[in-house]
Amino acid sequence: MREGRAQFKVNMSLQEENERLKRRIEELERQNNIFEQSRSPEVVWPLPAVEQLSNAEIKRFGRQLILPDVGITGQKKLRNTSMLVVGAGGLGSPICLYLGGAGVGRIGIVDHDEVDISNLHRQVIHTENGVGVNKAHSAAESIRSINSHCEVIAYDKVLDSSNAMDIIPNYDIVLDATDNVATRYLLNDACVLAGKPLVSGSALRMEGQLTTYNYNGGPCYRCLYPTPPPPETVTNCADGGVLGAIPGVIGCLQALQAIKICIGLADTSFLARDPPTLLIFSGASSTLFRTIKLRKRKEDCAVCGENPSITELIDYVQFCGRGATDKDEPLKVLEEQDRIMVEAYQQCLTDKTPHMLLDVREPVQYEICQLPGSYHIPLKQLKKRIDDVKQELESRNLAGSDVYVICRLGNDSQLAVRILEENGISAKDIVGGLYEWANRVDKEFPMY
Amino acid sequence: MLDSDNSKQINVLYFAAAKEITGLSSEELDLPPTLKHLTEILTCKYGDELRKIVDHSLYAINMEYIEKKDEANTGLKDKDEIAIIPPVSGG
Repeated sequence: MREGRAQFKVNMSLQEENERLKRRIEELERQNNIFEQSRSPEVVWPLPAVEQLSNAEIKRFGRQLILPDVGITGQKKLRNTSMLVVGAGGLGSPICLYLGGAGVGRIGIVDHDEVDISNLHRQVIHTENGVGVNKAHSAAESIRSINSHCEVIAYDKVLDSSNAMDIIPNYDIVLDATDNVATRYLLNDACVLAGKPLVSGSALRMEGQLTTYNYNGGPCYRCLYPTPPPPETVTNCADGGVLGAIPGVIGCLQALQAIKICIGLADTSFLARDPPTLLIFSGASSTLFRTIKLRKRKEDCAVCGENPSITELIDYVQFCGRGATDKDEPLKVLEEQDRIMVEAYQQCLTDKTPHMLLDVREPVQYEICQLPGSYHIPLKQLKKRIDDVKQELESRNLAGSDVYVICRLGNDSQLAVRILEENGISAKDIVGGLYEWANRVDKEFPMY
Repeated sequence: MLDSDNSKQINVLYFAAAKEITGLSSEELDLPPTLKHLTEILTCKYGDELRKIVDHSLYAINMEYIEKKDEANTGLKDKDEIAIIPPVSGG
């Protein structure tokens, strides 16, 4: 009897295991399928022009064909144009969807990154099934599922100085949907050298910007921003946050601008007879849009000026002091003796080692989750609130004990330790922050 | 009562990183004679942190781009609206 029950249990767990593996196989097949379909077997350069739209195309594009601004001429131009979208993230998602939907003949997509679950709130071209899949391939698959007439080429690599001039000259219009400073300068210089218009968008937190560079005598990115900002002043979406609809708005405007350039609307409309513009989108403000009038290209610009000093692509990572991704390099400003690993901190808790835990994240992050007993002062306020730290230590009867400092990823906490040490407070940094705590000590701890 | 000079004001608009540092989307300031004076006033008020941002930002007066290198020669007048526009690189 007992044996029978045990056998039943084994059967049940085998059945569950079987179901689980079946689901896993399905998932992998789906991912593989996406990858296989993304390999374009025969790409003919340049894009072969068609003289006439097919009946299927006329039916599909009917609603925009009857627009006087588009018409059959505009639709054929879209069909015979190739566009390169660099970045398949928050901006690239709507760009790809609307360009693919509108009937652009060939779309190239460059992205080295893989879809992560934390992308999906804004990168609406990807799906839960695509988590772990390369973004260029995932986006390509979505475009094909909307418009199978569109030829899509996925480049699952980092765009850099070694490959940009192999890719960019093949396309008519380039869209900058990247997430980092180095790639923005690279794309700008490559588009100037290749003579391509660059429709550039950017978005962070609740704000966005849109400009078309290197077009109709207008400026390039370097005309406006000759030198890159210091790396420590640049915020990315992972640190600063971003509301999904913000890059959504800017990406849609980029798609619109690329379509206007393609069908010639940007040349003849009253807008284009005005100077080139920088559009600023303030999503949190009641004045959503402001348009800044720009000047024509700068004669002394280093790349598009009369006597350019940049005549080929340079090392953009070196130029910007930061890599071509929006992932942060871990900082290392402290010596080993000033840092402890998350496991060692856990041991301190077990051993009840006298200490105070100081959390230096922004309030909005602290509200999401925190370790018990932590004292909270955001890094930005720490210098001014050293007395608060000292008072808190005294009120907890911990004067002279160590302060352990934690943040999300273990960068700000190191800067905080420096500040505390400079003010005579003995402090240690918890390496890797709450991210490592959640990874290695407490799997139930929420991470964002 | 404000005297006549102090009654002349400009409106400064802060975007992106400049907005983060000042904690403001705009503010009224007494009219400085040139754009260069404004840069100095803002550096005094908000420190090097803002200065670093401003050095790599665009200036626009009344929604028109102004060359940074001309800031000493760019006079300001009553009710001008000056926008400080740092580059945004996220996406």
